[in-house]
Amino acid sequence: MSKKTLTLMSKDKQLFNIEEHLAVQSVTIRNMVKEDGASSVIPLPRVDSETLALVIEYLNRQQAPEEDEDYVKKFVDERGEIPTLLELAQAALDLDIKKLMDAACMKVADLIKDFTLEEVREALRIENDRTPEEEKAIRDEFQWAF
Amino acid sequence: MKLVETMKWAQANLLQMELIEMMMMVGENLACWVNMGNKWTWDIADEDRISTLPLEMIHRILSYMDTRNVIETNALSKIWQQIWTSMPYLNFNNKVLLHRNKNANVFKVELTCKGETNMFHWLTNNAMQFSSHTGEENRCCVPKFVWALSSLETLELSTMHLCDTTNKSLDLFPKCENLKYITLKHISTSSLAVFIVVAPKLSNLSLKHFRAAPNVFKVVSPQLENMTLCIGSWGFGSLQFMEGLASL
Repeated sequence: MSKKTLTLMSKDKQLFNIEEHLAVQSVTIRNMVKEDGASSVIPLPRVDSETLALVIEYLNRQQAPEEDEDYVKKFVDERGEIPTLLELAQAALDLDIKKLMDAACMKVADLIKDFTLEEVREALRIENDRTPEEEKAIRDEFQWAF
Repeated sequence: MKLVETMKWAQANLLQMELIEMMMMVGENLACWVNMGNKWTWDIADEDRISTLPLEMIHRILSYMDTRNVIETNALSKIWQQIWTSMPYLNFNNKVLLHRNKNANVFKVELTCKGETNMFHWLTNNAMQFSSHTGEENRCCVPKFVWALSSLETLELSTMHLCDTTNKSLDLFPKCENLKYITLKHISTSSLAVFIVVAPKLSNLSLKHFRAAPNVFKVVSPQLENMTLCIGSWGFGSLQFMEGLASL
């Protein structure tokens, strides 16, 4: 008997097939399957195709549960670019794949924790909307932390 | 979320005045809060990647950083002021604390909030778990705020003193109606004769090594499933279960 396959559709309308028993590691997909059998295509409007390909790769792993921790850590380590990790974490959040989301967030934290504020702004493309005076006021107020 | 979607949402959900205000904000390219599905997020400009991410995720990322670094993010931009003050994960495992010798005594932990009369007000909302362990040499009293944490599901106290009462009987945690797990270890009491635990949802109760235990311990927990008793040299006079132990 052939295994049941689901089709996921990315934001940019690309289709990906994945076996149902692997796809249901995502709590979101599991609930969809439970509710209506999810026979048709499952749209993921916030996940682009590159990220979805990564998520599928993660879900398709053939690992024993006890090796899972190491696997997910290695998986995000190999994709150490901040923008990729943020996309991955957001996809994992939407799909409710807790381990993947936690690992990706942890890796981002790891990458930025020793950055200066200016480096964090650059890495995350944050525009500083305070004037130098306002920034100084904030720094003075929270001097105990800086 | 793109600008067009934001505006559609705004038209459907905001009053006229709010809409005008919001348009002005968008016009100035300032941050605006938008509701995306059931999650609150915001949109500054598409360029600012992390600020378009769900708040839940930013909090998760920050949860892996030192509290000190989390507070620092306040200076990143205006919107980040909202982020650190709403962190649901609080850890004080900064480098100093991480390197501490676990066996060394802590005599004093000081948390000071300037001008704040009830510094634990933030904890009373919906904390689910409270654990406290103090050292043998300097027993701390169980802080009073714990007694009013109605959302609490897990409570672990070890090597602490239950005090602040002159009564003979004490109703433990009367407002903690959602408690499911209670672990009390090495607890000493003053001159208590009767202890009462009323917890309708309690499933696990563990009492270990009481010092100067009360004579009578009353438990009213119809849903109790597991109970561990490990009685130290003092022992209990008696243990009463008001509702029987049918669920055990």
